[in-house]
Parts: sequence; structure tokens; C-alpha cells
Amino acid sequence: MFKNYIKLAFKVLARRKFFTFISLFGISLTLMILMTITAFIDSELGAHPPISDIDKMAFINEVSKKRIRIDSSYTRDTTLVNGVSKIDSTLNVREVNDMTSTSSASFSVLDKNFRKLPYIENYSFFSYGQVYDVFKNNSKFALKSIYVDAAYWQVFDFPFLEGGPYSKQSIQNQEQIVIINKKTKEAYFGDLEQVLGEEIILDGKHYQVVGVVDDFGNSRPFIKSDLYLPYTHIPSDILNNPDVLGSFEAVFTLEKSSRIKGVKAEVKRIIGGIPLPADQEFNTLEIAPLTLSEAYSKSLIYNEDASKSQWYMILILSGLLGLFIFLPTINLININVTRILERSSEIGARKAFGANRTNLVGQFVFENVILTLIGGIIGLILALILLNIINSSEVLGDGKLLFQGSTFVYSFLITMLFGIVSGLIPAWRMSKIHIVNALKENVS
Amino acid sequence: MIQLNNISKVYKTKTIETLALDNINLSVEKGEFLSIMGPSGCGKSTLLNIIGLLDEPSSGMINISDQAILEYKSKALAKFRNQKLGFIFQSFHLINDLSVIDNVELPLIYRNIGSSERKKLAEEALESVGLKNRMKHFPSQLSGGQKQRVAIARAIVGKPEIILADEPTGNLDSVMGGEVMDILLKLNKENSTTIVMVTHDKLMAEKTHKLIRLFDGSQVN
Repeated sequence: MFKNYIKLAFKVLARRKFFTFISLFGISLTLMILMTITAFIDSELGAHPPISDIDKMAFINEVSKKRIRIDSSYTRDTTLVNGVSKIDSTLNVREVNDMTSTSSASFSVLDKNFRKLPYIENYSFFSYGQVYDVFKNNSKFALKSIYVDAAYWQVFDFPFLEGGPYSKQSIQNQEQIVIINKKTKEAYFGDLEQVLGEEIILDGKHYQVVGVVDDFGNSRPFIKSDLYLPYTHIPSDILNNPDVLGSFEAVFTLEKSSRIKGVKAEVKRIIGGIPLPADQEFNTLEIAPLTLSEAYSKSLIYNEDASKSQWYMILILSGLLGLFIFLPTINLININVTRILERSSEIGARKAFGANRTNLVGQFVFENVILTLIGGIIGLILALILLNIINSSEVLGDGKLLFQGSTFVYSFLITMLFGIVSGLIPAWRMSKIHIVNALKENVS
Repeated sequence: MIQLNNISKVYKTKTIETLALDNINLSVEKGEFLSIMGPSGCGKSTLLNIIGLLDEPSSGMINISDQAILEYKSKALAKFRNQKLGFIFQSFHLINDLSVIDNVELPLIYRNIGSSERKKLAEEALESVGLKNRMKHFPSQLSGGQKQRVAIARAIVGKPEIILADEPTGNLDSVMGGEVMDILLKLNKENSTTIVMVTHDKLMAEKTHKLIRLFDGSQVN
């Protein structure tokens, strides 16, 4: 039966060239966009190196100092009682925040308070460094840097092309070493195949290359850098800054993802005991560990409560994805109704010779799934071309859209859903046509 | 074989009711060739559709092969049509996108018969109507008479007990019509297939065992 269906599906597609073109155009364009969006989300929030343990990661990337004070006010209501005006006053007391200072954390606040959190397997403190202007081969280019500790290379599983991470000892010894990314290797060393042991000059200082990491899709700044330097190169006055605000962030690997609540509670308890500098007017400290998706959402849709940011983000993304799927599906349903209506004679003949509703629905859905699969393949090719264009044009800055296996699986599932839904509704409607009416519609 | 008791069919719209069949009683024996005649709009095709379970009567009883068909649900009716009935339509109703042999295989598909067996049976059916050499052609490549012979092959491929033919020669010239009629007569004679045929052609009707006439939905003698 399926052989027959396949044969018929291709015949119908070849016969109705215009419908086929319109359908394929809509399907492939929609799927191209969906696959690109899926690739983007997967690249940014998927569990791939160097953040394979994404589900178990928590970040402290923001510290807020606030001045909270008690504010009181009166509400006056005037009412008429027995023709006489009466004034009723209500005292309102509430907390108001009239000053906030937010930044990354200082090394000292992390160092003193967050090295012994419960439910943690590993952790790393790191700081965004300066952008170095580097001159080489008569050209100037800017290299972003990040200062990291030894655990950074355990928490994040960077794909190394050459060499490997530096040790705790090397960091403590303040060795002049650096790990670079592939882009920097190519820009700085040109065609040189092995660059281990070679030197990079940054602000007049010589740093020996001990590792080269491969490209990856994610554009998060805590992993995407041109230079990875030991944090001990940061001037000691910065490391010893007693303020709670600074340039450091922390990443924790939890025992399991569900421990995030426990860690959040513990951090909340700890910050209650962290003294704020006496010379400042702040009286409240806020530090909340966030999951990557919470941190990501908060950076795009700011809300003090990161879980709300995440919720808004999910709503917006679902809405957009829904629209991208829903509108073309409605369109395809309409096209399919017209396409199937033209085949009422066939529906009549099939019913007369024993086809039941399930047979007919199965046949038309099958045909539509084949059409959608063809559209899916075209969409896949278009998506790969689009991803290549996006990556080579660097419109996403350091971000790269990688087409992973999971993207293909999601896209395939979306394609199948698209095909089944847009085929099922018209097929069900058409299968209900009365045989006599179907046979009257047109003739062959 | 076929027993119709007090069959009536009323088409209702919001403003009007049309009585298409009025109290039809009919009995067709196994192996009988019955023709139904009457002027256009007298209810011939409606009666044939009701016998063929393509339409439901407004009232009355139908028994086919001693089974009270009107009690069947749609899925069971589809199965019954598939196994017991074969249809030949005036306008053929072949599927243009399928080859001749694929068209003939159609009823067997819904019996879940394997493809090689289907092919064998379809070839036999096409051979019996003299079109085995055209089995890879498409309906658009055939003449009207050839199309109707393909339609007959499709109707007989599942070896149904009853064939229902709605003006099978109506769209054909006299030579082709004669050829189609000869095939039907042969089927009836050699296989004892029960045939009910609607026709306008008196000469064709006279070749059958029994003739009934309809006028304004009623059976007349």
C-alpha cells in the first residue's frame, strides 16, 4: 500500500507543479528559518563543549549593593457622613530602594565567601580582561582577554587543538603563559602549523603559548575569548580590593542540576553575613546564582528576578516559533484543501471500492509528509547555506551557528509535525465527503 | 441476493422536500442480470447508489447476501463494498495519476493483498477485458471504450458477487458500447456474477434477464 502511496504522491506533486512549488517554497523557507533559530538556540544554550555540563552549571555574574530605607506616607480619603465632610487618613509604610550599584563581583568577596558552597563539585573564578591591541605583520588587531584560574579548564571542557590547560602551579608562579583561540593563532602566527612555545607580545610583555582551543558556537563572553591568561597577572590591588563589586564572576558545577535551589538558599544565607564597606551608604547586598538560561535571559530582558526574565524569554521565543510554524501551517492547510478537493473523483472511487476514512486520511497525510520531507531537505540545504553566510559575515560577532546533530533531530521533528498537521486537517475534512457527492464533482 | 423492501429516498432542503424514490420493492436473484430504465431524473442512479451502499435510503430495508446492511457502521460498509461489490461508472472515475494496472489493483489494496498477488490478479482481470497490453498506460492515453474496460477490470478484479453499473455505455459510441455490454454479459454468464445496470439504451436492457422501469421515483410495470 505504501509503495502505491509513494508512487501516487510523486505523481500528484509532478502533476500540480504550481501547487507543489508554492507548497515547497513555503515549507522550505519556514524550515530554513526554524532550523536557523534552532541552531542559534542550540549554539547558545545547548550542552556542547566547552559547556557540556550546562545543566549543572550555576553562575554568579552580578552583585548589587542597595540602599533600602523605610518610607512612610499618608493616604487621605474625604467622605461625606450625614452631609458632613470627614477626613480619613491611612499611614502606609513600605521599603523603598533609592540607590543601587550593580557590577560583577570582587575577587575578595568570592574568595572569602564562596569557596565552600555545599552541593558543588567544582568552581572557578574568572575576570574579563582588557582588549589588547596587537601589531603583527604590519597590521593591527584587537584581542579580547579573560583571566582565569586552573579550575576554569576543568569546569569548561574546551576543545584543545594544541597543548592543554595550565596548572595551578603555573598560575601561582605567575608564569608568562597564555592559551589562545584558533582565530588568534591564524591572525598572529599565519600559516605556522605548531605554535606551542611561540610567544605573543601583549603590552610589551612576552607570553608563551601553551595551548590553542578550537572554534565553538557559543558566544557567551565567559568562554569566548582570544586570550586566556592566568588570573594572577591581575594587579594585586585589584585582587585585594575590599569592596564587593569588581570584575570577577564565578561558575559552579553542581552535583546535579536540582541542587540549584539549595545553592541559591545557601548564597542567600551567606550574603547576610557579608559586611558592606562602612564608608558607603549601602545597607543591602544581593547576589544570586543563576543557571545559564536565567543569566542569558536576564542579559536580554532585564528583570531583577531572573526567573521572570527566563519566563518572558520562553514566552517570546515560543510565540515566535509558534507564529513561524502556525502561519505556514494554516497556509499549507488551505493549499491542501484546494489540492485534495480537485481529487474528489478519486476520493469517491476509492471509497466505492472499499477505502474507509482511516485509509484516505492515511493516504493524504502520507502524501503531505512526503511533500514536507522534500521541503525539509530543501530547507536543510538552505539553512546550511544561510548558516555559512551568517558565520562568514560574522554578523553575530564571536558567535557561530553550528549545525549539530540535535538541530537536525529537532528540525526533523518540526518537519514531521508540520507535515502531519497540515495534511491531517484537510485530509480529515475531505474524507468526510459523501461518496455520491465526491463522484459527482469531477470526472476522469 | 439483493432484497429491497419499501425503499424511499427523500432529499430535504430548508424549503423543499424532493421524493427521489417512493416505496421501491425489488428482488434480484444470484446470477441475475437486472437492468433499470427510466427517463432522466426518475431516480435510477439513486436506486443504484442505494443498492451499492453508496447512499442511504430515507426508509426501508436492504438485504444483500442475507445481511441487513443498514445496520452496518461506515467501516463495516466499506469492507462489505470492497469484498462483495464492484462498480462501473458512466464517467469511469479512473485515477489519472495511476497507470492502468495500478487503477485495477485499487480494490485489492484495501484487502491488504501483497503486491505480487495484486499484480497477478490485476493482469488476469485486464486480460479478461482484452487490455493486458495497455497495463502500463495511463487513463489519458486510452479511448473511452478502453477506459470503460479498465473500469470493468477494476470492478471484477476482486471477484465480487455483485456488479453495479451506472450507464456503463452512456459515454460510448455504439460499437464500443456493444463491446462493453458483451463483456458484462459474458461475466454474468460464465461467472454467474449478479449484475444491476442502469441504462437508457433499450437494446442493451433487452439483453438482460430482467428489466424494471422507474418514473418519478416509482416503479412502473
